Amino acid sequence: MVDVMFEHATIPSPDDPDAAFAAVIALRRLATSLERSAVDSALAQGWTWASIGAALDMTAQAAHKRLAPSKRKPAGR
Amino acid sequence: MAAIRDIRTINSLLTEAERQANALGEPRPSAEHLVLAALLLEDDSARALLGIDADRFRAALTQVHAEALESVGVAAEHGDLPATGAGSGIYRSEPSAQEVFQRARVLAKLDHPAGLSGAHIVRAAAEREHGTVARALGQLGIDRRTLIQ
Repeated sequence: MVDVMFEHATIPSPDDPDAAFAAVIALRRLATSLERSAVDSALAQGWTWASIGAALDMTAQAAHKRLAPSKRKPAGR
Repeated sequence: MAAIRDIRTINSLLTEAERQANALGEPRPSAEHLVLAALLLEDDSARALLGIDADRFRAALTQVHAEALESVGVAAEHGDLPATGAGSGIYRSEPSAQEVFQRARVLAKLDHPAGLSGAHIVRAAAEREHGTVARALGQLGIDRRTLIQ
């Protein structure tokens, strides 16, 4: 799990779209990672897919299809 | 013979790109993961062209993302995101990886002798003016335009 600190949220200047897009990509990666970690923790705590789906504003089926650990294969290097 | 070698190279590139993406916490490979895969091929053309190894490029990617997060007030304590797994079954990649791969195959066909190498992947990725590869090359002090001349 990556520890993150939110200092003072700032929005990059629209005059520098390259920096703004870089931030978007980095935030997307972080959000994906946080979502997976949270789902793993929720499942370990006994949450149902209906509860996880509701918490993520999606259906249980959509949450399971996208985030179920059984649908991920072990990562290696 | 060259065709068989190409198939082996393609298999190595796609498999390794997916592995690199997963190891960096991403479910599907993007252009930067193809570059990492090219740097890890037995063929040393990508390493020779860039003058760096895969570890150095991976560190640059981590740095680029960390700096981008810092720009919006988020400080990541430990560089890489936790490893993840890709969906099993059909091979899936991000559009940037698909575009780089297709462009590299075109560059390989134009070369003499024809045949896909790691350097073709690097050149194809360097042609992209924007995106993570361009930022990582900038972070490394490598002028991407010199790679595509």
